[in-house]
Amino acid sequence: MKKILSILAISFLVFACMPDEIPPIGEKTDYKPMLAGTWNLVKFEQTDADAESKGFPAFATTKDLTNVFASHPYTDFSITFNADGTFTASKGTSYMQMLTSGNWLLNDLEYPSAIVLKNGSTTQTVSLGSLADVIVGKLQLKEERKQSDTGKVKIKYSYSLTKN
Amino acid sequence: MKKLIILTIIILASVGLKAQNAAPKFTVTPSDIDALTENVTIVFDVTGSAVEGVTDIYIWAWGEGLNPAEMLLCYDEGSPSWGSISKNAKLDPVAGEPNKRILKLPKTVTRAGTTVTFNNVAELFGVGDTPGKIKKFGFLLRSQDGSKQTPGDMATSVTLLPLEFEASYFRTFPAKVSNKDVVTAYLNLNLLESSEDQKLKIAGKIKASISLLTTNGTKILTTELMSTTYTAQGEYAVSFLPEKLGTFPTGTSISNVAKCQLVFSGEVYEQGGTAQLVNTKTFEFEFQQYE
Repeated sequence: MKKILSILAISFLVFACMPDEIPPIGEKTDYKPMLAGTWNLVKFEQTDADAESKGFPAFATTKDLTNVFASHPYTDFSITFNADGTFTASKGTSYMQMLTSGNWLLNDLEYPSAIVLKNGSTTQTVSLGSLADVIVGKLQLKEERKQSDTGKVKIKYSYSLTKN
Repeated sequence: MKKLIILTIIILASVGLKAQNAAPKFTVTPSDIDALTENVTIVFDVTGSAVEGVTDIYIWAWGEGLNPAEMLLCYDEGSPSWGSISKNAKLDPVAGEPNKRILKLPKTVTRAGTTVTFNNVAELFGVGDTPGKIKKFGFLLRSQDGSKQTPGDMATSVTLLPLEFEASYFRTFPAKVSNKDVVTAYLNLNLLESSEDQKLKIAGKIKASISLLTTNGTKILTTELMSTTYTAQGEYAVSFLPEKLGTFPTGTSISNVAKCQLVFSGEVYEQGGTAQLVNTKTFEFEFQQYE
């Protein structure tokens, strides 16, 4: 009887220590339909990466370029990501340097970190900021200029857009 | 006729002397460095300079505003002496390039009987603990005995990126920029240099004229008198995208643009009420190659 009780006790402890099965935490987020739609640029910023790394004051680190050219505001820019994978961008009078039409795709469907714009043989990759904001109609795109010989990031551009 | 011949001889002689004393060309890699940048390489091309043909070429370098100013490679201990340059200052040859020499960091040498490694420019000038002290250094190339040397007086110099932000008479944002980026140039008249027209201190309606140039200094296009804005930091600012600065002449494009020159102008009113235009000197910067 004592033996049976001991075996039962050990079995109870062994099974009690087994990990619980992790329950499903919901459907994977499909960002592509959330990105579909027209996005208008509301802010365009330029950052000197060297100044940022050295902790220079804000005015010597980042410059708001949104309305730096009075007759060519960057707020004229908008981009439409269509659900069929095509896109069109309208520069308006702005000097925005972005492809104006073609196809768009995410670099990774599950964990996207960039949008790839393609037009023929030309490809433009723009990094994505926080995807959490996409749900509330805000999108941040980022581009970097790198030094040719070292690959070091020298200038960063940040585009803040809101959904129509 | 005799006078004319003498004059011609003098002119030819002076041109000849100048050609013999040409400043050496040099390339710094990475192209923009600060006092703490590591893995720096400087390649010197002595073609046409006074040290062309010299087997052992030495570098004599000095940091602006330092005391002692000379680079630690130039002397082993005590004080630097032009007459007894250290063997550590001898530049390394470049295989297959007889007119080229190289200085590469990190550089390990024996100095005052001790092995020392210099990892960056600050350490080369003995300010490794206070790297902000060196902002620019000049150099000349010489023979071991100093009988042959390239021009001094900052004829060849390297300007370092600042480690701390310092207000300056002229600056660009970003500090280093490619010809495809938006550039903002700033003029701080509170820091007007003594060599400038002091009337600029009281000048109004500050405008900027901007020129784009090729590598060899040929002006491609100039845009005159662009409006500036006055910033909270007391600077006059003008922003531009080089590609949109104007219409490029036929056969040229933004890809030909290597340098930029700016001149700021302001109006000063004389007693009679007439406006006089006063200009700053010409500021010049080179565009970087960014991807």
